[in-house]
Amino acid sequence: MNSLSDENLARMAKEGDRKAFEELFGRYKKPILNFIYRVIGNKETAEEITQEVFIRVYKNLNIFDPNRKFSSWIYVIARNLAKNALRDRVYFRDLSIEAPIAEKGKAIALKDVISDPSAKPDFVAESAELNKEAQAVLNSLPLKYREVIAMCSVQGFTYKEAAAVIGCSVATVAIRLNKAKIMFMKKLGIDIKRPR
Amino acid sequence: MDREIFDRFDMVMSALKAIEPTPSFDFEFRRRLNEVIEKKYEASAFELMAERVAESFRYALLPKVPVLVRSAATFIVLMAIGLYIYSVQPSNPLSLHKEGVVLAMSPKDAAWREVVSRERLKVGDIIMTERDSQIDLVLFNKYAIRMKAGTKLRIEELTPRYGKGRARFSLLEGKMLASIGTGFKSSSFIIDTEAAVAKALGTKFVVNIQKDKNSKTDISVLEGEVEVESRFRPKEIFLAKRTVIVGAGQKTEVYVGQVPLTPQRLLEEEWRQLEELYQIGKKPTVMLLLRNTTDRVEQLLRPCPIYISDEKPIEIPEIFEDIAIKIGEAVKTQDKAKHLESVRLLEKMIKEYPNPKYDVQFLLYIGAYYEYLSDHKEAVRIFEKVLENYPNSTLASLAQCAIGIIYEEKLNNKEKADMAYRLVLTRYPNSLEAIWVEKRLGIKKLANNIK
Repeated sequence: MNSLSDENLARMAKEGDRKAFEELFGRYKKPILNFIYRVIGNKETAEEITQEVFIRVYKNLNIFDPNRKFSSWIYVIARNLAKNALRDRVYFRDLSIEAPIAEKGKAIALKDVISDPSAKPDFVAESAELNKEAQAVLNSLPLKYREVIAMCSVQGFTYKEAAAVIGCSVATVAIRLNKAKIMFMKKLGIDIKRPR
Repeated sequence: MDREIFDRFDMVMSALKAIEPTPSFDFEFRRRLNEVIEKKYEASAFELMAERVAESFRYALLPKVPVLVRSAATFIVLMAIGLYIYSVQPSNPLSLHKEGVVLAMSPKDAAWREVVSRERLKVGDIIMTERDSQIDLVLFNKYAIRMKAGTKLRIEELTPRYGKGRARFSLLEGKMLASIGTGFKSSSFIIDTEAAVAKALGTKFVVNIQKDKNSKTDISVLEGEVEVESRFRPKEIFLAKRTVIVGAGQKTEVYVGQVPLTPQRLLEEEWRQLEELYQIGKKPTVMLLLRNTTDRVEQLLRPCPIYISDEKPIEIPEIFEDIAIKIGEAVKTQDKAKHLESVRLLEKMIKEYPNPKYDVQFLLYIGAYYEYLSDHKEAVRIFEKVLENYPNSTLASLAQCAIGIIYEEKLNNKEKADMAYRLVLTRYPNSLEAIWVEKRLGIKKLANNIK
């Protein structure tokens, strides 16, 4: 079962093979959960939505076209559900004078890790503080920028893959991602110009 | 250099720690999936049974009929289904965008309960909004009502079925705004008060009951027309008109036991007040994050955060994104000059892109921002602007009270502070700030007595 492609597993699941569906669930639950978490910014809600994503996948297997990439299809569902959740629960983007993003007096800030070439990027993985800071900045960005960072920068999607999920052109993804990065870094206090 | 930073950004973001699902995640998912599968089997079993019944009818009972007859029968069945679906459309309005405390009492229970969001209200229900509270009652595409603070409304009749419908409400006290949608144009929408009956003729209008010794009903119309009929029947029929038509941009008043006054043109300030009618049933774009407690004004001056909805269409001008970044920088560096630049830019934005949907919230935020920067005079100027331009806003009492606090605590002008506090009590007696002022004055009096 491990060697089968996602599309073949989806075809088997469509014919009622529960094990094939379980395999798909095992393969995608973590990436989807993390993608939704980066977009929503709340673990509990992200888990709820992830479960709903797989339920939707199961219910709609009969309309899945095996000639299409399964990963794109499931991410489209995840993106739509995350967007709906944001809309229904009226998540807001806040602007508070008294809520600085980076705490003062911290040993190392995300700003330093990004702007200092000698700092190890892996350090981010070990530091809960830095993870929290990155997510807080991400949450403060508009949704369309959050999702491109979550897909391309965090999960390593190519522009083409991200474009297939968002339903826009590759150029749009590239422009949006650049803008998102500039915005993210401005929020951290890194002065940056658009790269040419 | 910048390209390097961009690449490092990707490396850092890809190194972010992935979150792990909680231990019960898989179990919970499988439980949900099993439920879905069970339902699917139940549904398919039902479909199979229905198919068998249909088959047996097809072969056992019904003789073969010509195509035309079959088509006609199918058409009739579809029409009947369509009519049924149309007739069972919900006729009860939904409660939306509740702010503060809103209670409802149904005739069966005879006890007050809190209204929850998206609740369908029924005929006979009495809905009551408390101080600084409001709620929208919406029947999509048909009508939307906004009940302002201190309003009591009873639903008398709801029958928007089979094309022409009817919705009738009794306004027992307070103020309500009504906006009739295109889906209710040929139907009848009626508001009863103690003094009059207002019948909408496809319109947006406001009904307000002023409870003094002569209890009167004010009706102001923004769009379309409203037919206003007095409950009083004049003995001499020629003496006065019992019914008047109030057109767009007009208002009338009806005192209990009298006929309606001849409609008059609305003053500019009254026009501005009616603009709220365009916002009923819509989610607020900009909100000040304040708890609905009596210390609201203190929360505002702390200052409180402002929240901007991400929902589309985004109505905040694009320039706001840049200002938000500037504020972020000012917060980070704690640089007063940057803060001042940001607040001035915000003020400029409000001046250049005025919009009644967010002006008051932004002005209050700007006032609180100036106060945070210890620019007390500028803060007072902004709060006064709120009072001048939006004296009837639900948030105006906050501005009036904030002026009092700044005069008392920062500018040491007791006289002006007392005057501002008195204005809170006289102009906004039903506001949360009135309670705050009463408490503050009470404590001061006590302190003076002890001295």
